[in-house]
Amino acid sequence: MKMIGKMIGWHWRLVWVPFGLLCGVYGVQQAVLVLLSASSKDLFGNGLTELFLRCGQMPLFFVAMFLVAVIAAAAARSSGRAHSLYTVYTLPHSRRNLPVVQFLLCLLLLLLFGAWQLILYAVLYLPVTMVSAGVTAEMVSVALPQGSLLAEFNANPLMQLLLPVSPKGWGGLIAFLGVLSLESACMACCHGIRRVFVSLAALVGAGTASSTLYLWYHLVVYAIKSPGEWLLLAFLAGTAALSAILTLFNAWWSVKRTEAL
Amino acid sequence: MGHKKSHRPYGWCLGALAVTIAVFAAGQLFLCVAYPRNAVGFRLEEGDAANLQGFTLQGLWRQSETAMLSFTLKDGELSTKPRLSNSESDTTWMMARCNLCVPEEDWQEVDAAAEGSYVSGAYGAYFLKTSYEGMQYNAQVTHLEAMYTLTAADGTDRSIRFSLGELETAEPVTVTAELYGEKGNQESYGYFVSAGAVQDIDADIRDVQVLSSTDQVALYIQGGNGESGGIYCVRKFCTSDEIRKQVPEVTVHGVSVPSQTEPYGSIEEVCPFEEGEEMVVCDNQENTRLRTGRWMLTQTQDGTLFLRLLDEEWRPMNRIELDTKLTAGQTVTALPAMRSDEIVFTVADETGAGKTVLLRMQDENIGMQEELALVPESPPITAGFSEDGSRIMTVQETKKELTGTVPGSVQEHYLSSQSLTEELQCSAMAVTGWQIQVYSSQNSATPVLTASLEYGLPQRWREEVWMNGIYDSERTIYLFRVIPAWQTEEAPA
Repeated sequence: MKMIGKMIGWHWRLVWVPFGLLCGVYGVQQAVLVLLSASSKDLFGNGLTELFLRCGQMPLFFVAMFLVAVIAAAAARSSGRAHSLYTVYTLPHSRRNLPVVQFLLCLLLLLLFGAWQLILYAVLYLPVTMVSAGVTAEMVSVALPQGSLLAEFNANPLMQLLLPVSPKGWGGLIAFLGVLSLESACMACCHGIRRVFVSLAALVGAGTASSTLYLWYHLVVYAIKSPGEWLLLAFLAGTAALSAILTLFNAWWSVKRTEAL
Repeated sequence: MGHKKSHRPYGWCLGALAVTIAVFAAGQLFLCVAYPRNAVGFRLEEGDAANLQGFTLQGLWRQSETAMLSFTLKDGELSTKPRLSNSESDTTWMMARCNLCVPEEDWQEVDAAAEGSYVSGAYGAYFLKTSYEGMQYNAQVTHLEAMYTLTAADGTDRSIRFSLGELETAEPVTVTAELYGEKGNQESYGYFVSAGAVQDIDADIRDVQVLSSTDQVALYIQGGNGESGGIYCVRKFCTSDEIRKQVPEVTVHGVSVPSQTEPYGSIEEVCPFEEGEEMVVCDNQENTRLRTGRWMLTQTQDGTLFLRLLDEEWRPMNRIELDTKLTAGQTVTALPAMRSDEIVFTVADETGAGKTVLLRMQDENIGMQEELALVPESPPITAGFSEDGSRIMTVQETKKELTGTVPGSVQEHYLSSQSLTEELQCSAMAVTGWQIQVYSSQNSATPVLTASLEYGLPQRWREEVWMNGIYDSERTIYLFRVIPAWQTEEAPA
């Protein structure tokens, strides 16, 4: 167990720079886009949640999560001055520790990125509200209400995913993080065409999870429950489930073949 | 330092994990602490709440059957309870943000589906076109048949079909019935054929009225030509699926229709009227389902008003003569009462002037009775006695004008199917609260106004309701209405 901890720490040192860069770029783009949207008269009347969604931040979040998984997987394949594989080969531990290490490392990075998103969202609330209020004052004779920070957290489907309040929500979050971490571990431990396959499965899974979440939000909030939309929701949920099943299969296969070493 | 790092490579890792856990825990704590489960409420704007000692008023501020804000005003203390019955209540805490985005059409459907009633039907040939069954055609001349599909408040739909042909009423009888499609389908059509001509659905037909359609279908059939009227109940219900299974379809003039050989609605007279007695008004307000009994006002040919008390099965319990006579042009309106043992109705002339009559029943008789002058500009929506009967409360809606500019983006936001990009200047009257007035009633021939209070939605909520309530299908501004549905107190044990 101590060896696993040490390996996570070692791999963390290999990935923290690209991970930090990703967080930085993500934070800057989000702040810029949301603030620009808030200052737009065309989007007047929308709260932080709507601005966040209109700027495409939800799919971007899932793309970033996928990139986090890729970065975590890259730790085991780093080259240059780090040469992690050499270190791994020489460490006195079971070869099957590597998938576990990669899984936990990716889980940690995903959680950290989720926390970063929560902080970003909370920090952006005040400036966005101020900018939006300024635009409102120019256009409307009455003081329009602004959603409170709590309201914005509750209304945003992504925040509902990251801050679950029901067993169903907790299950969704754990499943999402678990599957993505597992996919990252598989990416790290597989070779050749299998790695491409796993990467695609992870990408499809993240994409469908994002789409499913957004469509569900759309159906609940706007009460537009046409059969076509339910069909699309079922299709997306099915695709996400298929992606998860493929991931489990890949994980099993990776461990069985111990392809990592 | 470097030496230390080589021995503890996971130090930073643990730090990152700690930060992550702290952020998520703080988020959860924020949600738990700040979750305003009872924060959506009304505010006393004018007056002293102490004047409401002895009154208990319960009501609903309702957007739909699944989203409502219930509130209780007890001894001047007003408490509210958000009640969101959809499964997302944990996350959609603020109904005014989400559930107000309901089209006006849905409102009508929800209201009518909850309370049933009215429209369409004919004597003789009967022609219906509904969205779920396609075209139905009944060419029987001597029978009166109707298909009745009700979307109930619990989400199920019930359909009945009944025949009035065997009643042999002397006058041509028309049946009024509401036609609905399957749940969620807003398309519903109603036509009828009388004397060989298709007539409009909105024709003013009052010979037969549907009194109730929630628990059971009750009809009032007006008398005439020596026949007395009365209340009839339809006893047999079938779901629409059962109807489809039980009734073999036949083809009439190339149109597939249900067979008429097996009528599956039976009708029973439960409350015969005296000769010449006609129904004036029936307590079929929105709170009917909350009450344990029913009442209606009838009048004789000389205009004398009678109060008929009815049980849950619409059977007569008592018939009381009131000291009020209706004159030509006067209309009577039943109001939802604040308690189950109270009855409120207004009598008004063409100008809206008249009186509000408030009764408290005791052992199926009138225990207390008060009358208040009716102000045409602000008719009451409810009234009631205080607990000891020494004072009276009346409640009127307060309306205020809200104005502003609605940008195209907002319209587009709530109307994704259309692209409206122009700004819209809006100005409309909206219900924003309630004016509550308290009168003394003891030892006084005319009740005296002793207090006037105003409860309302806070300004922030008014604007939010106004902004979120915009729905523009034909560039017409709709504002969501406050529908008071006053709950009665539970009957004392």
